[in-house]
Amino acid sequence: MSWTSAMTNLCCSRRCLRRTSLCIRGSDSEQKRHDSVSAPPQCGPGGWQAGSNPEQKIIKRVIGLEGDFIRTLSYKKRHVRIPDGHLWIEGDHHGHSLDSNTFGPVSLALLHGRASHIIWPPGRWQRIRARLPPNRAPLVTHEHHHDDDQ
Amino acid sequence: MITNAESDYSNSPFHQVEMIRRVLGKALGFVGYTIQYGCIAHCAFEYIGEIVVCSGPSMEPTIVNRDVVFSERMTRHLCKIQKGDIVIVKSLFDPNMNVCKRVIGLEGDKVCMSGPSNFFKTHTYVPKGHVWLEGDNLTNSTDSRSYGPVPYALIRGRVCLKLWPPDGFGILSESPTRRIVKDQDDCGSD
Repeated sequence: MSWTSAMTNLCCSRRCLRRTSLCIRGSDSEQKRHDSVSAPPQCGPGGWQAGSNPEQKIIKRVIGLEGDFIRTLSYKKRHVRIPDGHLWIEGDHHGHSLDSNTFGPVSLALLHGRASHIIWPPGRWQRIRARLPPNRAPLVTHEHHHDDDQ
Repeated sequence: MITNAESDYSNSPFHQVEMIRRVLGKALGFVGYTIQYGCIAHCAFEYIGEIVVCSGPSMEPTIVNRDVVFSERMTRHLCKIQKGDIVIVKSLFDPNMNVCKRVIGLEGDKVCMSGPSNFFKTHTYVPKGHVWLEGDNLTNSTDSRSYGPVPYALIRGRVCLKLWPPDGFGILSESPTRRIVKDQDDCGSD
């Protein structure tokens, strides 16, 4: 557990995130794609510069996992296959977010944790629900499980 | 009826409670020490450094297979990584794997993307918050020349000492490849 400038309680390691996505929540294959994660801004392989500062952390929603084929919003390529060991992350406020649409896929190694709760202000105390924004589901998912044909 | 005083004493409920209390105290003390030393070890590994066993040919001849090196973390935390440093970096493609490479260029530097044997040299600029990494063994190294610049946040530590083998003990040698980007004014005189 640690505090970040985003004041978000981070409680899940990246390994746990992957496991969460594949095992614990295995019955709902979509869930793992809506986890909010925090990671320093970076650029993926072949990506270009984001306003990156290794000390700064950003918090975004996971849209696609490695191997997924997704439609981008404003990236230089219209469709992207996410490389191995990478994630596609986007902010919930489309168009006003510095996310993978700017700097491309983000390496899993940059991940700090999964945001699970909002704890401040007290009036907004809640669990951060895993949900995918409308029309942002990956076009083709990587898994070959039987539960991804929904 | 005369009973043995010793056995009478050891069977008394008071003695049993006392023994359980002593065992429990010892166990709790052990757990406490374990947590204390665990915390100290965690801080040491997080902020001072760690011992790393290197494998693979990409850093030959500076570091050969199975060499043991010491990697310190403070330089990375203070953002004082310089060109020519050997760093331990988390792999871009597998978060559980670390790689060991030399920093060739920092953010804003112009670096050569092609190998030394290529006739046509292609250059690129290292983006902000990134570093350009190359192995010392240019012919047998997968590095920034194939996957591009690496985020600074992936650097885990700077290799400062070679611990094993004993005859190689000491600080590591300078880059043998002469590919480290010089400062802009030196570049013009080359």
